[in-house]
Amino acid sequence: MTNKSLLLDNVSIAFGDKEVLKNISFELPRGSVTGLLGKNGAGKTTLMKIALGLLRPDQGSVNLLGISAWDSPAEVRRRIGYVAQMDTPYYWMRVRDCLTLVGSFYDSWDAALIDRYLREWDIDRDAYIQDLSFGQRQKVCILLAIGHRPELLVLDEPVASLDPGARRQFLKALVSLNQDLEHTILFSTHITSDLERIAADVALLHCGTLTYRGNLDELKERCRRLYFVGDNLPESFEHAGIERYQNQQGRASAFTRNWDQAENDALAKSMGIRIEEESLPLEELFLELTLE
Amino acid sequence: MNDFVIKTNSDVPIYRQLVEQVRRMAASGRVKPGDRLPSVRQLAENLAINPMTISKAYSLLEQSGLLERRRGVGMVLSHETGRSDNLLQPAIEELIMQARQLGISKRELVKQLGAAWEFENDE
Repeated sequence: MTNKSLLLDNVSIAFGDKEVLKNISFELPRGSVTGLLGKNGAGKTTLMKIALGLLRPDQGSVNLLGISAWDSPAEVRRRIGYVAQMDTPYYWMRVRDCLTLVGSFYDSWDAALIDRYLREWDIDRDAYIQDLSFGQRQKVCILLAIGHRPELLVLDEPVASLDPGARRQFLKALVSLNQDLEHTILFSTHITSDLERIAADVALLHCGTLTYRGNLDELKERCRRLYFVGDNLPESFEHAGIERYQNQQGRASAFTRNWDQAENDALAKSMGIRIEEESLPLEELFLELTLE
Repeated sequence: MNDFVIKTNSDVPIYRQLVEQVRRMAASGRVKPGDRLPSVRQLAENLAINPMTISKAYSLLEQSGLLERRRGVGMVLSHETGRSDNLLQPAIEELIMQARQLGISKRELVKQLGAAWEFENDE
């Protein structure tokens, strides 16, 4: 048994001449919940597919639950759950029949868990999947992915079609699955407030590279927007750790990923000005960290 | 215990929001010494928050002396909650943060504190 659920080492892939992922190294400790953030087209889905052995990288290695994902598809399917983006499997079946069918593939299928969520999530088990709304379909896809209590659950934009109430129910189900800290979860989303709730770690994908990978609280505590206040502020300014200094008509601001009060005070003193700091919510940080 | 209110899209990390709210509940007397706090599991599911985030908040409150981990019971509000706990806490947190940023270890910080304490007493 390994304490890493997923290990990507120096993974790159290109489609034609478009490099989609560049030298990605990434690991998920067992029992962790990681949110994968990135703009549209940043490579999130590709990263997930490579992790699951659904795509083969041009370069680099992938270790999933201690095995090579690409070479052991059956083993991987038994131990992972995957909710793909905008997926409608078994659309010609009734909800209950497709759950029974998929459940029959697994020794570890938890029918009681599925029953509970069908009730709590208000899903009509007699309905045909093709007749369900997008949101209800997405809920069924989630049930199909968690019924066997996978060691690693990978969700690609799982809440995109859910209303706020359903999103909260879904987040509670994820927390419940993760309570024993044995089940690892990786999910991508655009909704930073959901990510903040249930992810302790965050991976930020930007133009095919990981620009941040680590603890979410630390990210918030270390990044600051800076405002330079004083007379005769420089037009341009270069200093280690300070990014994107901009002076617009005497109002100057910048950004730092490594906030330090003492250093900041020293810098302000040497410039003969004041530097005010502002901590930022995740959504703002996401915007700051994905600027070109 | 549905008294906790979590704000997402805030610049304050969620574990800090929890820490502040427990402090306020204790200060206002809504939670009394000996009262039990919800378990990590309960709170995580009720609030739909990562269990590790709750544990982190509880551990910090335990370190500060406001909460006590009691075997078989869980986290309870400490009887030792003097006024000094609340008053010193911000200064202590600031000190720890600065020590971390300067790369000073816990052992070294405690040593320095001890030395400073002795020095004050000698004066």
